[in-house]
Amino acid sequence: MTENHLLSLRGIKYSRLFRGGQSHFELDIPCLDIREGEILGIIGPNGAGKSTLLRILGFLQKPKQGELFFRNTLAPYRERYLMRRKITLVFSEHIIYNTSVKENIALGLRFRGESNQNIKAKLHKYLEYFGLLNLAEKKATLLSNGEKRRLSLARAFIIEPDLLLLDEPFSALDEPTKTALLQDLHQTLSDKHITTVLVSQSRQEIISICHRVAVMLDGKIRQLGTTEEVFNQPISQEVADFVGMETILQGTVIDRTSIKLTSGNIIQSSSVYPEGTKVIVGIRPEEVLLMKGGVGGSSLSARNRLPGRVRRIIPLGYQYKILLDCQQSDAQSPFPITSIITKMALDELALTENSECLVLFKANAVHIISVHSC
Amino acid sequence: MELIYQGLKDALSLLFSWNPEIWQITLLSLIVSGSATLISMALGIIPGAIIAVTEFPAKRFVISLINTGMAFPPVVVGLFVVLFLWRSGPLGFLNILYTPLAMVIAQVIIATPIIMGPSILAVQSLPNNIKLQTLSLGANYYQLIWVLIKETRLLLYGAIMAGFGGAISEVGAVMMTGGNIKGQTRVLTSAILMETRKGYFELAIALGIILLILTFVINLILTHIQQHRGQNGR
Repeated sequence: MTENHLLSLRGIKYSRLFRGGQSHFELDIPCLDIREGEILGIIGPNGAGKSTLLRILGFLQKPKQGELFFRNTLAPYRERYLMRRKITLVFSEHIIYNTSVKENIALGLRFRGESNQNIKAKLHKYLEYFGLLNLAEKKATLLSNGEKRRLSLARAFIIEPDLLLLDEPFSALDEPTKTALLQDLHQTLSDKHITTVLVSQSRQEIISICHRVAVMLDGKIRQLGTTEEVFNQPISQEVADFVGMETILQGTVIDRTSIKLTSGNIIQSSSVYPEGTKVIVGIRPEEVLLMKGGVGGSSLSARNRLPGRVRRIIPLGYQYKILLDCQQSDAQSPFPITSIITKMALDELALTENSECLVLFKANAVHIISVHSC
Repeated sequence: MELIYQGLKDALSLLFSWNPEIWQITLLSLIVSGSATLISMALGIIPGAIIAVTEFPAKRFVISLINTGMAFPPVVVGLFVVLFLWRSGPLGFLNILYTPLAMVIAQVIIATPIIMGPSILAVQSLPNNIKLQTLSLGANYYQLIWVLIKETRLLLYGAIMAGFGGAISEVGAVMMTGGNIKGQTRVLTSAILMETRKGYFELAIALGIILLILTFVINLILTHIQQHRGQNGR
């Protein structure tokens, strides 16, 4: 273990028998390290064990086996009351106490026996931060869903925890509220440098704020890596099915028509963002065309034409998924891209692993998923 | 009909005559049952919440014992209290049999399960995640209990009303432990019983009216608080 791990799990096992003993759930995490300061996303379908894992991380659930280490020191479950002062979990459903907004938010500080003066100062700061200042005296149970979510986030942030655990924080919200809150949360997390684990089923949420992603299926972490790695290079068909097959790339806007990727390649797009804006873009595999041989002049509408090399061919029944690496001659390194073609096209192109071809996609096919303005 | 009509008329004139004995009896009833209810709240609500939250072996057995206690015959309670406080009994040296204190003890034994049973149920019926969220915000065990009691307070008002109702309307145990001594341990229920036996219906009716009004007013106040908070709350 290196010294930068905030919380580490070793050999964690948990199982539960459902009523009647007909179905059985098992969580099995041999090793997981949460790095200091990172935002770790956990993505997976319902019943994959994401929430159970989160409860174990929050010392709210005793694992059947295994150990947790906090800053490289063994943290046994009997020290749970101490650990819960450092780690806080925000549940996916709105849990609102039947008191005022102010008292709801101050609860964690009251548990810690902070002075009234301290509480008052922090309250003001966090009420303002989460836009709840004019609702402070209101009965918390009367708030709207979006306001309730702000309240539960404020209640967690005011504690200034070492580790923040968020269980699908935006699942019960409408789209505009979700987008606004997601941006606020991202801003807050990068301002405060709070180590966070975010459980979500939404690719958009994970892609836009997480540094690393763990994909959970059937109680196991199937893949753990940087967001780009996991979304572009899923290690198995199951993972790919869940994370989607879209190519996810990071880059910076150069001008209205082009984006420079972190790999140094420049792709054509049509964006309205100012120069220097950091963006994450997605390219759907159906929109990526493959071609053998030279391009016949400029008669094509696809603005992006890049030399590619086939890395892997994955059969999907009637269709084939082709994973490629693209690299322009002046770029430092290749970037991954995925295409979907039919069996007929595969035969016609005679593609095999390592064979070269031309990769084409329109500027319009480059979808901007999220924006990090600097 | 004549008997009831005449009785009511005389009872009303007795009530408005400001008879000091009537008011003394009423006051003692309130003091005895009020303090018994307060003690039962302390003994019922907090341990009730602890039982609800804590997992321990024989939990179901303990809860079913408490539920049995809710239907405990007051006469039997009275008998046991008398046996314990009897001069030659285990607590005879206290010398408190036939005092208001003995009546309070009997009423506490009657009212505590009535308050504790619903308290356990109320805390158990809170969503499990509210407990986990409270712990995750850093609550220790006692802070958790306190928060959960506060969350269930609307239901607890109902339990308190039932507990007070059980205490103030009880007659058997009060007669046995207090002895219905005039000016010392005579309360509304024991006085009504005695006056009815003697055939002094007007006094019995007057005391009955007071008992009804008392229980009604106290329930009215608690219901008001409960409904008022409830509307502003969830």
